Amino acid sequence: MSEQVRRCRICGLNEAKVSLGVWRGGSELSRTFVCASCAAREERLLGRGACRRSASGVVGFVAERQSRRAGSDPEKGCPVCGTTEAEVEADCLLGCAYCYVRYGSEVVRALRTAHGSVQHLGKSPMG
Amino acid sequence: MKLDVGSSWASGEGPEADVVVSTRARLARNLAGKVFPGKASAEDLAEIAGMVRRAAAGLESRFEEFRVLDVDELQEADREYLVDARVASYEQVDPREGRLIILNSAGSIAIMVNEEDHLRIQAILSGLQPTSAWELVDEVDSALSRFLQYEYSDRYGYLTASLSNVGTGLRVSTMLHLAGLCFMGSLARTLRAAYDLGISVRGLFGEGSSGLGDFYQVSNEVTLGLPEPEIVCRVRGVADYLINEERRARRTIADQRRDELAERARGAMDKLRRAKTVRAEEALALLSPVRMAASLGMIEGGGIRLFNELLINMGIGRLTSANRVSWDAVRMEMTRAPRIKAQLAELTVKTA
Repeated sequence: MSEQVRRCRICGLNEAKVSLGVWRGGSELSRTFVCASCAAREERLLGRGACRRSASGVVGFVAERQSRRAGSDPEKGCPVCGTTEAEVEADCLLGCAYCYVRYGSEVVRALRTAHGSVQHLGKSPMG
Repeated sequence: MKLDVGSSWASGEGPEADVVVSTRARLARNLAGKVFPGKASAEDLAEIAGMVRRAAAGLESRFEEFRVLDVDELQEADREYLVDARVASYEQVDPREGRLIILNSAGSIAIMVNEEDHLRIQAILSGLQPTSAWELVDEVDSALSRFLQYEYSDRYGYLTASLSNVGTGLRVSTMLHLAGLCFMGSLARTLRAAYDLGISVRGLFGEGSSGLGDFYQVSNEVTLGLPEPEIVCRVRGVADYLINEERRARRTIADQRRDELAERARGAMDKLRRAKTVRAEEALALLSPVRMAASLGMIEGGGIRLFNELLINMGIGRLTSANRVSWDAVRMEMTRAPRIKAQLAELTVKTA
């Protein structure tokens, strides 16, 4: 029997080889698994000094903000803004930039349906 | 004092103004490191408003002076007017912490702060001008980005609250008066061809207002995976197609059914002049054949501009927001009728 390959939670295509963790105040809040390509992109997305990569290939995001919802469960909602998976599925509305990582696979699916693409081709802040 | 935001888009002087009322380009942007407005605290929203207010002050070296309106300080009538003048959405004029509307004097540039996204930057111009509208909004966006850092990813582009706006964040829309196609009964067939080209065609104020006064908005649905000039080009292509079809219909009406149109226009003006109250939907329906007759040179005493200006300050915008805004419908109906009557006073339908 062949070994089941764990797929990237963001693109859903490549094998997940990198563990993406969300950290706050030295504590890990949640963890998901992504491919090397998406990990590199997310590092740029979250960038600006918030990302770090350890020698073991673990990408960690130090959440700079407190959760907006008292008692929000990072396993159920976004640890930065509290947006839940149910809210994302109901309205296709995200609460913060980190939701794009937290709900990566749902985002990719929705974007493919709505736009037929998951890659930006236009203007960038760098001109 | 009553607000006046310029509304140069209603001048009727832009290209293809006989059919196209206006063209709008809108960019959605969020500030880096800030929770989007729907999930942000009142403190965050106030902080974002302050940041954008300061950035907008920096625009004045490249643009004319901007005016900043605090939504929670506006009267209900002014909020309604801003929706009709198309410088704000319903959501934007619903008072909430940190909501601002930043405007230039011509009303051609408007920046909505803390609506669904931190920034909604729009340019709105008279007639069919998608490229100019995009270039103007792009210029404002680039100028603001000197003072504000946007949330952006190499993969997804500009990150927005709604996945329908992510990527370029660009929505280009043109408002067309398709009265000829409606008159000839060929609108549905023509619109089907537009849908096939992947472009959305909706009513005057988006969802829920389809067909009011024979006004339709053509806009892009895809914001991700296409560069901005390609989006502009696609909207323009569909608008050009609809304009050609509309003009063909109007030529047929002018050649074969001129008397019928003149009679409809005359009857509509008589009804509006006699009315003590009139609902916005009814006013728009009655004014549609009059506007088309004016575009065919059949009306004396007023041109397209007059009809475009009637779109403003009629309380049309509240039609699709009845459940969300508590404005007094009866008061609007009573004030709308004399306003229309006054503007139609000098008009007559030319006899053949």
